Amino acid sequence: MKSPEFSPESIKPIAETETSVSYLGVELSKSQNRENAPDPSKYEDYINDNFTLPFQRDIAVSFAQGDPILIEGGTSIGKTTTLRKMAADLGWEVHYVNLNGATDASDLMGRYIPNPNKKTADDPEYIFADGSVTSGLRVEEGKQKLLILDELNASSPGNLIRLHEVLDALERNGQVVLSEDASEKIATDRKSTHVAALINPPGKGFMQREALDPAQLRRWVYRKAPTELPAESFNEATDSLFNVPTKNKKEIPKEAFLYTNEAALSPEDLGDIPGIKIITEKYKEFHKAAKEMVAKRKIAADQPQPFSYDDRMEPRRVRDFLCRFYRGDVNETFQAALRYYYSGKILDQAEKQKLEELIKHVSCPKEALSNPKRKGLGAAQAGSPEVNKTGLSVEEAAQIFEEMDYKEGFIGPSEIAETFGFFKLPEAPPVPFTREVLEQCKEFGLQLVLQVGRTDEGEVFNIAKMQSSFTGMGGVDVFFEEGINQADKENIGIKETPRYGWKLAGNSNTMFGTTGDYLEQLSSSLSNVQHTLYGNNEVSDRYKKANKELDDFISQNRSTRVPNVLSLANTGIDLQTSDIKKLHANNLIRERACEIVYREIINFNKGYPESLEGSREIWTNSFASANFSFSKFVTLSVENGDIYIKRKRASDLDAHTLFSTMVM
Amino acid sequence: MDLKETLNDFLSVALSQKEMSLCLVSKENLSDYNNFFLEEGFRVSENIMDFLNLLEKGGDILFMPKIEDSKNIYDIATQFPTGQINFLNNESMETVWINPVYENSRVIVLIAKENLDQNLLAPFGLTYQE
Repeated sequence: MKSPEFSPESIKPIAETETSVSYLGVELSKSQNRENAPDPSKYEDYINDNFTLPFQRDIAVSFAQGDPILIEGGTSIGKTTTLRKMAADLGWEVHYVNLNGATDASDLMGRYIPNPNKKTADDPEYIFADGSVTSGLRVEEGKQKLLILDELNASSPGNLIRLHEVLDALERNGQVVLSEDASEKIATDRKSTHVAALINPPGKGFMQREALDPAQLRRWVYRKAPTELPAESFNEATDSLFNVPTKNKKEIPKEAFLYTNEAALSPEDLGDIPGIKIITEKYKEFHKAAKEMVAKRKIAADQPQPFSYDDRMEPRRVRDFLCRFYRGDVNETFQAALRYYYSGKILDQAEKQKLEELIKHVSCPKEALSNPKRKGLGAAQAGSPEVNKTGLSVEEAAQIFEEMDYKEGFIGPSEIAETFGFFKLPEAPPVPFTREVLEQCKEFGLQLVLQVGRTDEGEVFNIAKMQSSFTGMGGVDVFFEEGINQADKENIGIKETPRYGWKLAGNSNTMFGTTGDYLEQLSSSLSNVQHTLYGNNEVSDRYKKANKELDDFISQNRSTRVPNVLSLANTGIDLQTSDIKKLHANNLIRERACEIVYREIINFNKGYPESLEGSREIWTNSFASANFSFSKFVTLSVENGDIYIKRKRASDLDAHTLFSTMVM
Repeated sequence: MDLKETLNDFLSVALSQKEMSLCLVSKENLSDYNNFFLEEGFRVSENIMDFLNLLEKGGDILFMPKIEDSKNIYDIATQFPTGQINFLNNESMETVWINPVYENSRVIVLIAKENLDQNLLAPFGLTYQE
C-alpha cells in the first residue's frame, strides 16, 4: 500500500493513463496501434504553458465531441506542431494535406492507378489508391487518425467543395462517395477520424489567403487564435531555450480545467437537469444577442475572417457539450460551453469581456436548481420514484429518523458541517424520498445521505479535500494499493467528486444477495429497490431503462460469451470494465469511491455503527487501469480508521455490495 | 569566389535548426554551389523520395529540386519543424511518414533564383541569397 501522493492542487494539466490522455481534464482515447504516429521524443521541448495548455484543451474538446475544428492563427503560434504533439501523445496517425498551391483533387481523394502487384491475368489492371484525405478517412482497426487540412483558405474552390462533402459525411458517420468514380465509397467514423483545419488570417500579410465564406464555417468549430504568441508564452519559451528560469511564471488556474463527465448524458437525459428550462430560455436570448453583436459589428469587426453564430449548429454543439461535461452544476457547464463556442471565435479581450457579460446572465437561480418537484439530475439527482409527488424538508426527514430511533441513519447539513467545517443549512435541497420509503431505512440498514461536490466557497470537494478538511480524531488517511498508477490516483482522488443530492446508501446485504459478483449485485439491487423498497410502485422511466439495459447486457454476455456472468472473469471480463461502467444501472446503484470516503469520514467522526470499519471490502463504480494491465473496478475497505483502495476484477467474490440508490 | 568564406556563417547557423534552410543562387552558379556542398560532405539528392529518406537519417543534406517539385518542397518545408512529415508520392500514390532528425543536421535546399516559386520563401528558416 502507498499513501496518496496528491493534494487538491496537484492534478497534472496533462494526465496520461494507459488508454487515454487528458488535456486540462478533457480526456481523449489513445490509439491501440501507434503505427505512423509522430515520435513523442520530437516534442520533449514542447512547452506546456498558459497559452498552449488551454489551446490543447480546446482542440481536445472538439475531438472528444467528434466535431471538426478550424483554427485561425499566425504561423508562429505552433498550430501544426501542437496538433502533431497531441497525436504523438495519443498515438494517432497524422494525415497532412497542405492546400496551398496546385493540389489535384485526386491527390486528396485518390484515383485508379496501374496495379503494381499484378502477377496474373486475373489480377485487376487498375486498383484504387487512396489520396491524402481518403487514407485519413479509412477506418483501420485499433487506429485513430488525425486529418490536418493546412492552409484551408488557400484551397481551390473545387477542393473546398470536395472537403466539405467529406465533413458532411463524417458528421453523419456516412459514406464518402468518390464522385470521380462512384463505385468507390469510403465509410467514415468520426470517433476514429478527427479533423483539424488550419488557416492563417486572410489578408494581413498572408499572400493568397482569402476569407472563407461564413456559410462554410458553420461546419467547423471555429477558433480564433492570436497571430503571434502571447508575450508570456514567448517569454517562457525563450527562457526555456536559454535554460533561464522564467520570472513570475503563472500556474494554470484551476478554472481552466474542464472535466469530462464519465457517465455522459444522452440528449434525452437533459430534460431532467434542474433548471434546464430556465437556462435554455436564457441561452436563446443570449444566442440572439451575440448574433446581433456580430451582425452589427459590435464585436469581431476587425477580424478578417467573417463568421456568424449559426442557429442550428451552435445550439446542437452547446447541447452536446452539456451532455459530455455536465457534472452537477448546470450554470457552470452551460457558461463553459458558451465561452468555448461563442467567445472562442473572438480574439480581442475587450470584446470577449462584452460577451462574458452576456454569458453571466445565462444562469439559473439556485432556488430553481433545488426544486424538489423537478424530476431528475443535479439537486434532485438522488430522487425517488415518488419525487414528482412529494418532497420532504430537511427537518421533516430528520424527524422521521428520530421517530424511528435511528438518528445514525440521517446524514444531513449538520453532520456535514460538524465533520468538514462547512455547509450552510439554507443551501440544502429538499429530500426527494417519501415518508414510506424513509421509514424502511432502519429495517434495511440504509442511511439517508446528503452529498455535496463543492464546499461553500465553491472549491471542488474531492477525496484530497475531504482528507484535508477532516482533522478530527487524528484524521483519516486514504491509501492506494500498490500498482494503481498516479493518473488513476488523481482520477479517483482529485477528479471525481460526490454527486450533489440526497441518496440512500447502506452496507448491509439484506436486500442485495450474498454474491460478490459486480453485475449480479447490480441486477439484484435494481430488482430489490423496485420490489422491496418501493413495494412495486411505479419507478421512473430512467430506472426502467437502466434495468432493461442491464438485463440485455447480462443476457448478451451469457448467450454469446459464457454460460454465466460469474465465468466472465475467465473470458476477458476486464476488457469489459469500461462497458460495465457505461451502464446506467452502474450510476444509479453504485457509489463512486469518493462518495464512500465522504460517507465513511462522517460515520467515523460521528461514531455511527454504519462505518465500514472492520467490514468487508465493497465495490465502487470508480475504476483504475493500473500499470500495464486492463481496467478494473475499485474496491474500498476500512481498517483502523484508514481507508484502503484496491482494484478488483468485476467477478471477485470477496467484495460485497454497497447499496447506494440514486433512483429517480 | 571563395564559397567557403561566403557560406561559412550560413552553414554554421544552419546546424541543428528546426527549419529547413534555403540557398538561392543564380542558374549559372548552381553547379559550383553543388560541388561546394559535395566537398563539404553533404549528401546530395535530386529525388524527393531519396531526400525524405535522408531527412530521417540526419546529417548534412542538400536537396536540388526540379521546378515541378516546388509544391512538394513547400509541403515538406512546412511540415519539417512540426516533428513529422507526411508525404503522398502522387506518382505511386504511396504515403510515407518521416520523422526528421534535427540534431547535428543541416538541411539545405539549393534553388536557382530564376526558378524560385515565391511561395517557397515563407516555410524556410535561414535563407542565403547569392
